[in-house]
Amino acid sequence: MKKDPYAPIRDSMTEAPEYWRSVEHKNADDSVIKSYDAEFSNGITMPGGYNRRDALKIAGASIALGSLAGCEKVRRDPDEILPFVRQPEQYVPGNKLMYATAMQRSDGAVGLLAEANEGRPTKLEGNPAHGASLGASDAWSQAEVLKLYDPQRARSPLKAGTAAKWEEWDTFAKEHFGKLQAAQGAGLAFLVEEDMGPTFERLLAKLPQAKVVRFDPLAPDHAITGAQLAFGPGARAHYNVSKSKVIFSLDSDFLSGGPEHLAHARAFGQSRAVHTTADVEKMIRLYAAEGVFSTVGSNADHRVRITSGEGINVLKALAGALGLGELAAGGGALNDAQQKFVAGLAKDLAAHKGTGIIFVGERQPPAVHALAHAIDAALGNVGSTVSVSFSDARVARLGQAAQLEALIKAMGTEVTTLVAFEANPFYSAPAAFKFAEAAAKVTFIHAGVLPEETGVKANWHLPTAHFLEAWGDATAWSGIASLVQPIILPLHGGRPGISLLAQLVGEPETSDKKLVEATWVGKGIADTRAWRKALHDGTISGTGRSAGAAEVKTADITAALGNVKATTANKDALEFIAFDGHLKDGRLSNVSWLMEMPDSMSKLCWDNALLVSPALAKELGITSSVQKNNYTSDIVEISVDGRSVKAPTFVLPGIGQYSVVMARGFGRTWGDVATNVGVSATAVLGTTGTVVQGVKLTKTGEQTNLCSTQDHFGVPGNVVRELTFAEQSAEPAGAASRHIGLEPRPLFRSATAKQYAADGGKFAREGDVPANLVQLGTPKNKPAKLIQPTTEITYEGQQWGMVIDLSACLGCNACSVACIAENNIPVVGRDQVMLGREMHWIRIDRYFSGDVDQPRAIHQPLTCMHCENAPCEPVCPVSATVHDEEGLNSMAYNRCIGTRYCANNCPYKVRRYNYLDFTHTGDFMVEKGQPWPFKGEKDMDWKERMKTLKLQRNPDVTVRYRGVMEKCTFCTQRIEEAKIAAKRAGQDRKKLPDGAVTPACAQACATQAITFGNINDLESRVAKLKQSERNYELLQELNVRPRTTYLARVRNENEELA
Amino acid sequence: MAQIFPRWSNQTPRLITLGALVGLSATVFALYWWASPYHTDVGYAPKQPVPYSHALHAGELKMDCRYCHVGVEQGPHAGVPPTQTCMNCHKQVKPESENLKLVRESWTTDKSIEWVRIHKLPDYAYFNHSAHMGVGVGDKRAAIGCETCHGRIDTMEVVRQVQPLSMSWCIDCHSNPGPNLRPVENITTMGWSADMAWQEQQKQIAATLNPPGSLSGAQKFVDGHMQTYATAGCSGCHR
Repeated sequence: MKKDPYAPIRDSMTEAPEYWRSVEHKNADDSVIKSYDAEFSNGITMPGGYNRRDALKIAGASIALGSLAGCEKVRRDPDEILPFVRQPEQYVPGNKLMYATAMQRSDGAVGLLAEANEGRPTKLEGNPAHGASLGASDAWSQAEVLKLYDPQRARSPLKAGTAAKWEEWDTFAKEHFGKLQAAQGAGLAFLVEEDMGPTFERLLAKLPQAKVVRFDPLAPDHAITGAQLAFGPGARAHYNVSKSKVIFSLDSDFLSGGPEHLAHARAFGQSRAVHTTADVEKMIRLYAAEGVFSTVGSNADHRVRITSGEGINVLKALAGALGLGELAAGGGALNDAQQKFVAGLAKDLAAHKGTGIIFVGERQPPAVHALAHAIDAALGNVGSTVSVSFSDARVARLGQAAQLEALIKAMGTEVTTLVAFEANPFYSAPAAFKFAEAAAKVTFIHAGVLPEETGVKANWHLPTAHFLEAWGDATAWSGIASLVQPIILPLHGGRPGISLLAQLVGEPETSDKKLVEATWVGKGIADTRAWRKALHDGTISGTGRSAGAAEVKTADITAALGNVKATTANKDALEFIAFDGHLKDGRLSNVSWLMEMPDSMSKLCWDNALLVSPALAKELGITSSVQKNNYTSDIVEISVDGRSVKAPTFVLPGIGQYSVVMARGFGRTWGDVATNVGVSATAVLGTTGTVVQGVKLTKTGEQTNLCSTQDHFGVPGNVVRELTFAEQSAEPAGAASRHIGLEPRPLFRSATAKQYAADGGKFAREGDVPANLVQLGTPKNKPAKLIQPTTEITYEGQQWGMVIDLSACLGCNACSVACIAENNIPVVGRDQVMLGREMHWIRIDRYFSGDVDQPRAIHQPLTCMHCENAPCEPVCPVSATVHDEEGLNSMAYNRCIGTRYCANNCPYKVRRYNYLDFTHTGDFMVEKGQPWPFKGEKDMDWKERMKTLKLQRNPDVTVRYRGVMEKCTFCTQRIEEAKIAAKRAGQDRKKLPDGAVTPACAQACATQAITFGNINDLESRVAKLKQSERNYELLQELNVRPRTTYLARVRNENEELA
Repeated sequence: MAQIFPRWSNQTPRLITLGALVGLSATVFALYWWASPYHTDVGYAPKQPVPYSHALHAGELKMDCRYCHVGVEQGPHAGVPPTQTCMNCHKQVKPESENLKLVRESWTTDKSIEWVRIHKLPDYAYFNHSAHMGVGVGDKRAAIGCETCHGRIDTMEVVRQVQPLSMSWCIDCHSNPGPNLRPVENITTMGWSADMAWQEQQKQIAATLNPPGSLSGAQKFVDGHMQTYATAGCSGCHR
């Protein structure tokens, strides 16, 4: 029978795809597969339950009324121009200014550049001169700017939850803290993060009797205590990833979190930038052993599943295999896969003495960290890839849990007043501590940027200034200090943290700037000139921690290891792990950008769930069935030690078989965005960290639905299939398709380093059509390799293009958040995401391959490809999307009438449509299950809410309205800015130097996976990458000639383990 | 029986139809014109809070435009000057003038003077003054003068909008920028006109702004040839 040319590409799938997005996709579940071809992949739902006919009626009436409105006024509303009275120097209206600053975190400060437009901070970028950033940034730093504008920041102090005046506080503080100051701080305790910056720490030390308790769920607590155990008090380990060849990550996510993760990611990315066969030599081989599935695990060359409780066994077995008998004593048994893994790893580490690193994550106890240091030392890595520094005082430090426990015991007796800075212990302290009960016994004062659960219940909440609003200073993990400068005055009159602290400890000077000056000027900073230089550079020269002799205290370590018991989980005593997703420990829950950002691995957004392995799901009879891409999920009861929590489940391949995993930061009871979303993981946690053993799951029989984007925007065609040499010849002939003359090519291409070394990367091009490619340039400067497919287009002037290196992409989502901040991308809310209407211009597709329980995972960022034969362009009835002379597929919003033909015709599914007026109303969610937006209206004053949020918008990018299509523009505003700057400087705007334009995504990327530039300049980085043999086009068979191409992933596999 | 209606009345329906059509077209055209920038915007001359006269300052006193509008060569907006700029002179010149009452008030109270905006583009169109203050490289450098878009400011007591600032008006110049190019040193000169040598120069500079043969949706078929325009893409102004 002749095939109907208009029939869907796929009637039914005959074979399982090699690369799959979800278990359901692997099983060729119809509801997933069919949605890839459908226009409305998730069905059509009108808000408020209107049907098509109602919509037409309303539309008709609107037109009639609209035409009446037109008669009212022709001229636009008059508009004022308000110039300065005295204009600041350097200020030109409309030009942005960049200020160096830094963000203090418990694991060290990250240097940032804040972009200010007309005095409003609108975006944060990494500071290239700062060692912990190197110009890159993560999702957290990108999102801080929206936190600054959070509409729920308190306008005044809260006294027992109700608004009070600052004067009332001052009167109270004078009396209450006057007494405490007189007693040298006896009875007073401060609950602060691990490192609060030099000035803050200076003031903290002013009252010698006051207790200082360090509490921060994100602190590298075990890492610090572990280093202290191994090397002595005040020790801290630093890792030089760029020098390393073999890295073993035990339960660690060192590429996307923890101390100096941006610098680690940069070095890792550089090692993966393999462009010639000789480059294979420089590749790091990454081993990972973990129970969760982290970005490290998905980028590891070898990954083995363990439960966190088995971590000590794995490391002891490794020590044993390396011949370090005394450290290996008492290790438990490993399973076959783990044994094989450890044997291979040990051999590799032994062969790379001095160039190996062992990273251990926070889920492992301090003794295991110390063991890793001992192994590193035995291998000669300490002093080479691992260096140790010491604090000047070399004071021993207790673990956070012990500090918090001691505090809770002392509350009501020794401690009568507790002041918490920037912490939210009522939510983020594990439930087992019963912090709220203890807090009731003392005068509890909470100072923070947001009130949150703790602030509204504390005796006093004092709004502090955000770090973009105040003077301050910060210390990086390496000890290098930075000055923090205000970009804007405190929006709601919050006081800087250091000013408040100065008031509490009785420091007569409370001005934030003067306090910082008192710390530095004449000490670390010589004079005003040096002060200005430090402000400009973002770092204070001459600061840093001192290196010390790193002698490993083996006896202490073996003694500490004796107290750590390995636990092996089973079906009835599972291991529960709370991990940090984009919301971290909850401090970013009210930032809607991150709430809507799909998790790196599960792709859940506006939801968290108990992630379980497919094997465990089968054993416990847990099902998740997919319906229109939303997951119907069984609700289970998690019970341990008398605590029990009900949570939905989500089956995620790659999770440890008896580990169950849940993201922190959900299940909040405070916050317009955060409330009623997901389940709180801290409610399950005990007092010993983020892992709980002996957890039991019981099916409740209830079900709910979950919001995951993992099956959204599936690219049509059964093309998700790996292509390797061996399979190349076996590619099925005549696979049913209506593609243009070609067999479907694989979307994702990868090979091992060995294959790459053998054939120089032919695998990426094998099967593509050589005749379809031409050499660029004049006969004189012909490149050795083909760059672009043939077109009728002659390349004149600048031609923009992009290359994304799949070897380097971690899937950390920093690019997505940077894109949101740069391009005014709205947040749509949970219900709209469920309909597949998320607006992210750059999404990261996550694919699995291999065994469903032990899969590999890969990340593929997808954004508008700016095709030369763009399929979106000819179908636009109003020419709203057309090519410009530099190869951009431009989108004229004001011309778009919203037919959505372009989105339908886009094979990459990267166009986004404003179904509703998301920009003005869509930044929050309403109660779960409520239709949006009609029922939330009564609870939410949109105008009031947008009042501050809209201050974040980038004035160089149009704010789109309902009914308009949008998509990635290659950050055309930045291209124009660079061109105009060139014109001003008298240079040729058509010959911008390489690197003059960097899109927001490429700028944020820590691994430098994204390269952008002029492909018509053969010397540019992007053109060179396009000449790489790893370069390939997505959906090459469609002949759309995308300007964005990918570099196939090269895996540096250990042959013994392959 | 005599005919009731005369013979010419046979034409009536046609005349009515014709009349209706003409009337309708006239109405549509009138409304179109009434709502177009040519009617609504050109000539707009709102009363400003301070009766500042460009005719006096720029015309009679021959002050350079850039003394006050400092942003014009550096950024997107030419900018309305801060009160300080007025006070630079008016601390000495006419310090007691009734007309300057608001300026002095602003100076002492630190509150901005609320000037009324005259030139206003839609939010989705981006315009950058500094991009027009110098294009081309080396001896092929030229600029658009203030006068080209803002008219003879030096003669205006009250500033009014002289050009429609419509998209077609922009495109007209971008299609054929030559005649509006002037030497960079004459940007602020009022009443400037090109001599014969410069007219030749204009053509040559314009040719460098329009490289032939590039791919563009904004190519047009003119006089038997495809021609490309100075900034041909949409994304130059619509981002």
